[in-house]
Amino acid sequence: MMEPVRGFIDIDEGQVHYRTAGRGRAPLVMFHGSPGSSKMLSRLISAIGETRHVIALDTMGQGDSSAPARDNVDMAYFADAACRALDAHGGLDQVDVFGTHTGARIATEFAIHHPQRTRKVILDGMSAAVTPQGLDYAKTLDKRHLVDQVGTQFFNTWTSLRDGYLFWPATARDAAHRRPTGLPPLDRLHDHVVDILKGFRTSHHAYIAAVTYPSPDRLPLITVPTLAVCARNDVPYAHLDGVAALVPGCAKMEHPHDNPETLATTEETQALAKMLADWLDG
Amino acid sequence: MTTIKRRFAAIDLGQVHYYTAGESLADNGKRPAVLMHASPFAARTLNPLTEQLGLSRWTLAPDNLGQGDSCAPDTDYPAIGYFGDAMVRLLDALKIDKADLYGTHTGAHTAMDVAIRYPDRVGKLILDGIGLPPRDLKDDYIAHLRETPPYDYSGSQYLWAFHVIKDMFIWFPYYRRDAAHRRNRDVPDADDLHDRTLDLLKNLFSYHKAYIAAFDNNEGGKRFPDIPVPTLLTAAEGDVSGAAMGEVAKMIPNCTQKNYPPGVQPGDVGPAAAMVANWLDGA
Repeated sequence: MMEPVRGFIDIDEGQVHYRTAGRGRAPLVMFHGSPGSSKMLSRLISAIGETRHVIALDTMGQGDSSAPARDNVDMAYFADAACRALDAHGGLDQVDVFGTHTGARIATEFAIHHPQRTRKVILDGMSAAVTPQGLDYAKTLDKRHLVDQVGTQFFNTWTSLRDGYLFWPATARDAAHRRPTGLPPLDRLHDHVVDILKGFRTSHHAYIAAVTYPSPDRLPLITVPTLAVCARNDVPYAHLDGVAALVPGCAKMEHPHDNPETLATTEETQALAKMLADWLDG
Repeated sequence: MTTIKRRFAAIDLGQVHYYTAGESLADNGKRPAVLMHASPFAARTLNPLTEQLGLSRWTLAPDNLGQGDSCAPDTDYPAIGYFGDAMVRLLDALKIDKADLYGTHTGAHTAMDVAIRYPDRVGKLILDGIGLPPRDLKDDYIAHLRETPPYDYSGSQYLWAFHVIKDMFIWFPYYRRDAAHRRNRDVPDADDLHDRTLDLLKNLFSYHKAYIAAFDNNEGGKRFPDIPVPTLLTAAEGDVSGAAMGEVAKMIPNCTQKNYPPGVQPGDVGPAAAMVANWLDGA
C-alpha cells in the first residue's frame, strides 16, 4: 500500500492539513478521533485508497491544522471548516464521509448541514448519549498549563496515552476499568504521541465539543444513507445499537475483527477497508 | 495573524515541507530568498525571518530532509552534497531558476554547497554561524550524533529528546555537561522548548543525518575559497561559531563580514531581517 500524500488547504482562519490517496469514484472524506490527526488513519486511508479517492483532514487545532478561529466552538464549526476546506480544494462537490469518535460527530454535522453534498456517511465509534462521566472528562482536556520548562507535557502525554489503552476512563486505574486490549506497536504509539504533542495547546477545542456533543438530539436529523460501525474492543461499542436506532434507516455493522483501528493489524485494516468500501459501493 | 503558509513540494525522494511568505511577490523582480535552518531543529525556527523577508520578496524556508516535516534521506550517512542536491531539486520543483540563499549552521553548509556546485542557481549567499571547528571536535560531535536514541515502551525517548534540546542551550557541545562547557544563554521559553522537542521527536532516527553531514563538511575551511557568489558572513553574539569569523572572512573571495545588531540571539535572527534584506537589495 502507498503511503498517503500530505498537503495543506488555505482557509480564512489558517490552514487545513490533509492526507490523501487514490483516485476515482465518489471521494471519501475522513475525520479522525481526538486527540490525534489523520496520521492515525494512514493505513486505512491507504487501504481504501486502493479503490477510490480518499482525503482525510486534520481537525482544526489538531495534527498540523491551524487552531480554531475562536474559543468555545461546537461541532458545527468543525464541520463548517471542513466544508470550506473542501470548497477551497476543489473537485469535492459530492463526497462520502467517514468519521471515527470525534470525527463521527463532525461527520454527523457535515451530513446534517450539507445533505446535498453528502452521498453516504459512516459513523465509527459514535456515542448515543452524553454521560456525566463524559462531562467530567471534558473538564480535564485543556492541558495547556502542563507545557513548562521541565517538560511535564511529554511525560503526561505518554503516560495518559498508554493508560487509555489499558483502562477506561484512562484515569480509573483499577481492575474493574481494565480494557481487554494491549498496547499498539511502539512506532504507532510514538506517532500518536507526536500527534498529540502537535495539537497539545489547541486539541481540547474539538475534543470537548465531542464529549459534550448532544448526539441523541443530532443523530435523528441525518437524512442521507448512514452506516454505524464499531469494533468490539472499542470503548463506545455498547453504543452501537443506540446509534443505529437514532439515525433514520441506519445500517449497522461490527468491524470484521475485534480491534479499533489504532490496534488493528494490517490484515484487519484491509478487511475493514473492504467492508466499508463494499457498503459505499452497494 | 501570521502571513506564513506551510506547503509541500514533491521531489523524487518524497515530499519536502516548507514555510513560505510573500508568495504574491514571486514576480516582483527580486530573486526569491531560500532560508536553510540549523540542526536538529526545523524551518519553523526561522519563521520570524521568513515573515519579515516575505514583506519584500517571495521567501521560502524548507525543512532539511530528515528534519521537520520533510521526508527522510534514503541512505544512512549522506554527505552535505546530498542535501544540496535535494535543495536544487526543490528549486526545480518550484520552478525557481535563481535564488538568494541564507543558511544558519547546518543550513549554512547546505547553502554553501549549493552556491559552489550550482553557481548559476544562486544570486547572493548569507552564511550565519559557520566557523572552523577543529577535527577532534567534529569527530567527537559526530560520534555522539551516531548514537541511537533510546526508544522503548517506558517512554525513554521523551525525556531524552527534551533534555537534548534543553541542553543545547546550556552547554556546547550539549553532551559535555560540566562547568567548562557552560554556555551563557537563556533556556527557551516553555512553548519554544515544546516545539523544538517535538521537531526532534518527529525525526528520532533521521535528525542526525544532515547534522552529521554539516559537521563532516568543509574540513579546515577548504571549501570557502570556492564560493563564487557575493557572500555576507554574519553571526549573532554568543554564537559558538562566531569566534572564527574574521579568519573565515579572509578565505571567502567576495565576502562582506557584518555582525548582527546587538541583542539578536543565535537562532532567532528575525530582528535582523532588515539587515539581511538591505544586503540582498544592495549592489
